[in-house]
Amino acid sequence: MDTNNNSKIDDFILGRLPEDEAAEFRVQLTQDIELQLAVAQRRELIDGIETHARQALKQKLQNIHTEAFGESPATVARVRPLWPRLAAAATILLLIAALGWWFWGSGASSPEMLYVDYYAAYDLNSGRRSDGEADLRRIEELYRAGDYAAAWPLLQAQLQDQSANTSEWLLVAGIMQLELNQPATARQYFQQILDRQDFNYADQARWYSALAYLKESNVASAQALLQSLAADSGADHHAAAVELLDALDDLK
Amino acid sequence: MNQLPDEQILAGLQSEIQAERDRMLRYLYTRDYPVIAAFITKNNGTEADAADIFQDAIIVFYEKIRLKELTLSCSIRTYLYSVCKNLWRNSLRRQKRLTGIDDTIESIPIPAESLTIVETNERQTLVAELMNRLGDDCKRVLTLFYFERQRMKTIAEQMGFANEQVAKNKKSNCMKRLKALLQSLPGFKNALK
Repeated sequence: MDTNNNSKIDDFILGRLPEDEAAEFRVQLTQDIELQLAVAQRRELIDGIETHARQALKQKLQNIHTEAFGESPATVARVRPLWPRLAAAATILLLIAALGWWFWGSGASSPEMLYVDYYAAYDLNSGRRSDGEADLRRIEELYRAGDYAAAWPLLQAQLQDQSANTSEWLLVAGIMQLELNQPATARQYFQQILDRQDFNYADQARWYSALAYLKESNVASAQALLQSLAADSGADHHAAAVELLDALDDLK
Repeated sequence: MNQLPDEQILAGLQSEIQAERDRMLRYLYTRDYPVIAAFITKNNGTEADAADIFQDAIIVFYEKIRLKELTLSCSIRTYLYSVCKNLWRNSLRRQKRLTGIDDTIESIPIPAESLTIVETNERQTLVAELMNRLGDDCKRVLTLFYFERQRMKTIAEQMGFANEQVAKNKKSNCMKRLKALLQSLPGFKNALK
């Protein structure tokens, strides 16, 4: 199914086709089993995307609730599916499949496209905050919920009073700035990690700095950082850096 | 808190600017939650039930507004209260705890199908879980297009893409990845056929 067909299927499902085209599409649908399957598959994905968006919206509302009215006892979900543990067990397989597709299916045609293809937010480790670190736990919750605009001022305050003076929080600060479309500011945080010579986070800092440069269409600077990761087979993001360098070469 | 007129709240929720939509959600939540909490707790519910029900009601309302499927014949508060009342009655009925609703506030009839969007099946939840395997940009572009129903030009502007085509390509790639993830699940590929 090519992109044009998918685009038309999207318009049909989202009710964006003009009435005459929608009627024609419905007729075609009754006669074409392959099209029926394509529509069913697309609808399944869209239903899931909408469900994900509702879950994110509900989390956002819960955050508002907590801020305005304080914590409420845990709610009892009205639907408690049993599948999540099975899905978690399949995570490794999924990651392998996703990585396979990642490298096989991008076909990006600009530094910015490569950025969006290769960027994924740093997975902030959880469960290590003590009870005295309520503010940091709050930032972590917002970060995990993707609410970077709300998380940023809180983290900024923590950075200013040295409460979050670790390389990991500097990395998170940079990621938030990337998400808030401020790649130059993001690089300043990553540079602070490199200046500390903290080897635990240096690879991450180089990787995200390279992506920030890509977002700014500064290919040469991105390549320099990627080459340092590609040269070290034990570096975090080594394989992705090698692939991304190849992809950047293909742009020329 | 200064009271905003309903027209301003509706306009804010329909805004293409995320921060404005968030501001209105926050306003609406803090303004109307106490009324709902009083109703739920008076009718065999807890504060946690009240938060859960009210959040679902806002989701129902928000989607209707975003999809332009709602023409309000009453105030927003009355609509939200009516949705909450129906959701809570359904919840009590499922728990076999429904004995009657003590209700003194004006409400309107809400079609049952309007409430179904907050009920999810396992397959929807599974795809939703797979969304978390995508990068944040992918999640955002797919959410803006399919849930917020924004146009590609607007999405490109919001996400800082060079142009509409970059946003289209991004959406297309992200959908391919999501589909690949789904089809890689043992047993799920066949379930689609």
